[in-house]
Amino acid sequence: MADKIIYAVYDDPEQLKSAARKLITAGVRVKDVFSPFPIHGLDPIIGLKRTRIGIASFMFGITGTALASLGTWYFMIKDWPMDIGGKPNWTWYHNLPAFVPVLFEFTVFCAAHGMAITYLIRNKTLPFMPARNPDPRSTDDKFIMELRTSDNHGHSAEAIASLLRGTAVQEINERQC
Amino acid sequence: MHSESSLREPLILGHRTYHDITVDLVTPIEEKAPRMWYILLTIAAIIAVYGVGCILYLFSKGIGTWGLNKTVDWAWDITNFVWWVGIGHAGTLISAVLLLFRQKWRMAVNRSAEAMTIFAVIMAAVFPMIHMGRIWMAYWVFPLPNQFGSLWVNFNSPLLWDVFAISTYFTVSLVFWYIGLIPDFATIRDKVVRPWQKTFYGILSFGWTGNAKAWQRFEEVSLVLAGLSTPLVFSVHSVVSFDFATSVIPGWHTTIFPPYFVSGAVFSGFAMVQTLLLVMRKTLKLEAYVTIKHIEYMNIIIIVTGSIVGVAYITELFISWYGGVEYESYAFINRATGPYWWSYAAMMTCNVISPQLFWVRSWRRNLMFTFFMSLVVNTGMWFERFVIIVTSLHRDYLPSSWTMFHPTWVDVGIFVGTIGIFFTLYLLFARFFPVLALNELKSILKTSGESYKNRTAHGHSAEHHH
Amino acid sequence: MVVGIGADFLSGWGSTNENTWQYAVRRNPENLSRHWQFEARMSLTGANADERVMIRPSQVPAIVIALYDAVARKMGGAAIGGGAVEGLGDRIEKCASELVAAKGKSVVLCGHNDEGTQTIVNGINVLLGNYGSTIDLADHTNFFQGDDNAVQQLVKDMNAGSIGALFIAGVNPVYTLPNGAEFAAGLGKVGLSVSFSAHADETASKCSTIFPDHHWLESWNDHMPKPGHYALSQPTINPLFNTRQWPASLLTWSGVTGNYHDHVKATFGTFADWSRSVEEGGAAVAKNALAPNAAGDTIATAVVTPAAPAAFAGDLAAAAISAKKSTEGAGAWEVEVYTSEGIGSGLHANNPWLQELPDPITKVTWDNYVGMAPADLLELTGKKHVRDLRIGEQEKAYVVRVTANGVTLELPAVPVPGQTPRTVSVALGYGRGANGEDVGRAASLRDPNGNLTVIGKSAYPMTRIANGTVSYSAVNGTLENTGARYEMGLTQTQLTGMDRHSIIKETTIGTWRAHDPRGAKDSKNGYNEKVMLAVHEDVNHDGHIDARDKVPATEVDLWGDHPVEQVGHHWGMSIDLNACNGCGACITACHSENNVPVVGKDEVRRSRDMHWLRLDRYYSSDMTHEVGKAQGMGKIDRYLAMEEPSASPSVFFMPVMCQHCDHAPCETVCPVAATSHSNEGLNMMAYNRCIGTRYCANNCPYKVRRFNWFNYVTEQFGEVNPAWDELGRLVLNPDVVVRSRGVIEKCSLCVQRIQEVKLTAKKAGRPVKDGEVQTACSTACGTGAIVFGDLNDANSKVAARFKDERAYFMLEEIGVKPNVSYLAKVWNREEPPAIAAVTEEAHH
Repeated sequence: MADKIIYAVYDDPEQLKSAARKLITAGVRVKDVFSPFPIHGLDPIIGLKRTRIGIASFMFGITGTALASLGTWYFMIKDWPMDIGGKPNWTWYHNLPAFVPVLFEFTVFCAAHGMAITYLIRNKTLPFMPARNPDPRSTDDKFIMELRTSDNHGHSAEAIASLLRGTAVQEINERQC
Repeated sequence: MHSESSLREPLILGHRTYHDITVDLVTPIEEKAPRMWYILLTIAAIIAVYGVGCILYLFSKGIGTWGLNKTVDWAWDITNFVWWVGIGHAGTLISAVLLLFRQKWRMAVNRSAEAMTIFAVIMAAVFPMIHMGRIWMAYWVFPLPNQFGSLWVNFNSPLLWDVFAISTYFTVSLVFWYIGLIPDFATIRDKVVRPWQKTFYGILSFGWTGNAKAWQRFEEVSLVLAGLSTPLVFSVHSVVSFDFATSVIPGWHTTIFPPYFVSGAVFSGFAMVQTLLLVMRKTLKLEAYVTIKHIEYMNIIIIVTGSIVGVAYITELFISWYGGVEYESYAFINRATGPYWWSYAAMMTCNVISPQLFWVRSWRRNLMFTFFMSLVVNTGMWFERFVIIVTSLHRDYLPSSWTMFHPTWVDVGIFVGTIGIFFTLYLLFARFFPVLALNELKSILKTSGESYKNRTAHGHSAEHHH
Repeated sequence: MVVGIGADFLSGWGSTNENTWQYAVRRNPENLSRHWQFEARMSLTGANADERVMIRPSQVPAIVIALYDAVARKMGGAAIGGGAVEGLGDRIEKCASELVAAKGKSVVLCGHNDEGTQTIVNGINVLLGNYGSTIDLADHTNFFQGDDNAVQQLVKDMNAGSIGALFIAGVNPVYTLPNGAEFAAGLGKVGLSVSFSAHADETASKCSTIFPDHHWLESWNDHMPKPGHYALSQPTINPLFNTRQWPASLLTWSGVTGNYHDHVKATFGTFADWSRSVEEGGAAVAKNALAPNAAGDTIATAVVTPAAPAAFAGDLAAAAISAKKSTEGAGAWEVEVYTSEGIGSGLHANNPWLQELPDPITKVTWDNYVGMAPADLLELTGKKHVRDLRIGEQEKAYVVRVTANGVTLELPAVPVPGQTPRTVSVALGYGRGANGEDVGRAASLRDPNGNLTVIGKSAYPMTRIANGTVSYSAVNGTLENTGARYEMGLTQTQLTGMDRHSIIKETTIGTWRAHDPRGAKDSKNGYNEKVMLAVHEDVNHDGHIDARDKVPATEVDLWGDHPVEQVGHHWGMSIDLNACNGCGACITACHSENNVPVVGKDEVRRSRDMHWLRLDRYYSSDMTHEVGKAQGMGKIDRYLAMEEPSASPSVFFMPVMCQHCDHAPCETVCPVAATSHSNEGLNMMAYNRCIGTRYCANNCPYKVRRFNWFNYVTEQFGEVNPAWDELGRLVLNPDVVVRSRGVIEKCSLCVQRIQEVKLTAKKAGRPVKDGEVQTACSTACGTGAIVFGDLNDANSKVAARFKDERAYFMLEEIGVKPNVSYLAKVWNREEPPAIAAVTEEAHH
């Protein structure tokens, strides 16, 4: 069956949140929300799970520490240890104080860039990717809720629209796809 | 819903809507630049080209074109390096540390401050590169496998720590800045009509859609990057200070340098932010966003960090006497009374006395005074690095190697040139990039905007008490 | 005991090689000589003296007479009379007493080139019984046999037109004679004038023909520097140009067949085994081999038995009158001309190494100057402090005009502490090629506009003939400030040592004899104390842990030693500061061995000389921390006062090169590991790895590292740096690389020589012997001050030196563990007065 996509346009994030709450209580599933800035408190309402990108960053960081430790051990202790200023280098532990800045910086480097690349890929925001927001005003001053009939088998497009009209919605646009 | 005390000064003045914010910041990008911009860009570009020419002359003839000698092997080159890196730290502090402290006023300032950081760090990176005697082998600082053994690098060296610290700092700052810019590029992309602008900002915005999941990740990434950048602010300039602190030279060999350098960096960085913002808010008509309160907040940070720096100076002097080490004692007596006493005096007046003037409330809210002081502070901070490097080196342990250092026109030309390049980049940024964080400002409009706080905004009260 | 009166016997007077060695042997504290020096300028010899008395050149005859009289009186002999000297207090009496006490074990030398004066000096030595004891007439030097009178007669004859042909070899009379212009005029009247000079120099350019001589390194030659020493020199390279050795020319023109090599071989062969001598460099022969026969020919004849030392037959009264005449007419200022350590008579003015070799006293390069007493220069310029007279990159020297003997010279003035007030000194050997003569590329410099300029000015015209000999002091001088300023290149601008005891350690013989260097038994005896740190351990075993529990700072170490330090070789160097006299031969040797670039005056002015090895020179100051504290002076005033040298200072020389620290601060900071430590204790510098960040140079506390600021093998430096063209490049040592622009270099302890010796020993299947490895500096050092060897060899000389009670490391307390140690200087002086006495004087 054809899918109908309904866009509900709001002026104010609080109004959108109240509307979303209302719709969810009525059993309607909200597909997505487009806004010019993040709406705090929206995620639990529309059922967005917590992102794990922070955890990813931690993993990248640990990898960075491990790589840097392995690297410094290999370069300075194992492969070609040199007598540099008489500094003790019989074991990695003995030379460790000198390695701390590099270990730290490399950890941060890997954590930050690993996370950033993951973020860009997951968000599908990469150079030359097309924009997918339904209305250019959603990056200006409008907050748009997207609902799909294919998500909501128990509700017709009209029912959803009438629910919406009970909120402070500014516009309702529909699209077939 | 988070609401703010009405006693706090509003962070956005007048009555603004979300759309107003978009228009205020995108219109200067959309339209032709004012004539002043072209004039300033031309001046900056000419100075920049002169600086590049001096650098090319340096490459062709050798480091001997500078005023360095067998005793003073570093002078303007490393002074400039530390000066620029220090300036960069303010941007990261604003973006990262103030985010962690939930200081909403940073939102009007962080975008351009972070841009300042990027350009300042680029300028800083110029100096370790060009100061090398054989810059064409610069890649040897990286532990790349090779056919000399492989011959690896020396991880004991603070200069090598610098390589890792500065590259991490630069790339992470760049990424942090750019990730924040993406939604704003999307805003511009969606607003402009001219085809080349639409394409240009379309590419720059990476296809940002603004959906809820994207924003969720955006906030998490911003938070984590802020959490990662905060230790970077402290560690990177500490690592830079290790260039001196881990040496044996009197005046360099001191454990006070890491906190001294970090606070000095923030101090000078905020002064540069003030210099840039005071001009920018006027020319781009952003007085409603970068308010007197913002200026005042930054001046307060200048008092705090300037005071730390002042305390550090006095501690150094005290310890040079108390410690009883002859060479350390002479190093400081020479700084204050020797042939370079004038640079020490400049450093002390500009850095210790001037920030204390901001205790007077009317002065720290005065724009002309702030602008003047910001230049004074940066001058003083340049002299601080000059004093540390040159006065410690020119008279160290063995009196037989005591000599004087005098800069050449190439030293001066390159330094002034980097200022030209910096301003060229900054002017280009101000012209083509959104200078304020649009998405962040919009998020605090209804809590910190003036008309919303004093309830003169249209439709304010009804919406907020659902 | 040695007394020098205006005699720079270590550097410019007499057989300096021998003097240097013999003097150094007796500067060992075990058997320390006592050296008095009476002189006007601060000479190298005077800088080494235990007692130095400032005199005016015109006073020399009077002093010599007064000394004779004082000695004679004490020994019950007859005085000459008429030798009153003002301003010297009791110095002559004291010197005479000591001489008499050291009867037969002393030598009195005088540098005044006057027969009358020398006669009286001979008389003093006779009185003291030095002939046959310290002075052996049969063991004389064969140098300095020139006859000033005969040369002057030649000049007269030339100008009278009675010289038909003149052959000139090895001398440059137009340049060096006081009346060189007369000689030049005379040359015009000589029918055939032939010069054998290698350059069309001042004299050669006025001769009718030049037959250029070989360079001495292209020649076979025999030498007899002193009786009994017959030396040979052989060529090291085929002649580079179309030249011929001048003796060979003479042989050819005389119709003698055979080449000069055969001639030398034939002559030498009558005295010693030729092949063996060529290998060994010479042979010891009978002392009067080749002595001139009655006809004055030096053809090998039968051995002559030595005569007994002649009795003294001088007419002292006549000598005294003649001596005093030689310096009469003293004016407001007196000028002394001298030969400097590097340039000497001027023969080597075209040697860039020697032009860049700093004068041992003033550290000036590429120039001669007027050496003035600091007080005089302060008066002339209106400055208040000697530190304001410092000549540096932007601090120019003041140009003065000095006139004497009818000759005027305008030269920059350099303050020389120890120069007698109202006297000045000017070095000879400069101003070569002043009229455009070709004297070699490096004898001139290019000014900022690219024009060739002559280096310095010739002071030879200020000499004159007095009593038939050339006099090097012009006593009728005037001096004024011209107001002009002049840039100069000095390798060291700081005058004093700032009372830094961990660098400068010197003491007196009395203190040394207590053999308590650390002051353990009595703190007054301590001259080689270690910096101590209090620790939390009862190290003095008194039952308490308090501030008295101290260990040497060097024992407090976070790190353990690298395990290889006791294995194999561990190279070290010891420098005996008593033996070192500051001459600087080591510097030139190092330059030539290691292909160190010559950078020219302008770079030296900008403190960018490339000397790997330098000689630091510190004048004493009246102010020290002890003195200042006793006077209640604050630190700031004390330090400023310490920059002022004493008017008659003590001089401390210190050769400084890379100390090859085991905990080298330079190694740690190189980002690309271009400098690291070898298993044999050397600080290694990998030039081809260096990217030129210069952090190592900054971190070196001794400032021994040098950076290649430019590409020195370019036209800009072509005039001075030998490696610029194909010919100059032949001077390079093929065992050592030439460094590129942008790279740091420093002393390597001649690692190429170490490796060579190790390889030789390895091939021979034996260990390296002590003394087999010699660095360039230790080879060139004429006093044995520099000893290099293996510290892990318990029997090596250097290991013994390291254990000497005088041994110390510079800046030991900063914990860098150098492998170069110094033996503290021991002066044969009385103990300095206690500081309390100084305070009393100060308050009066």
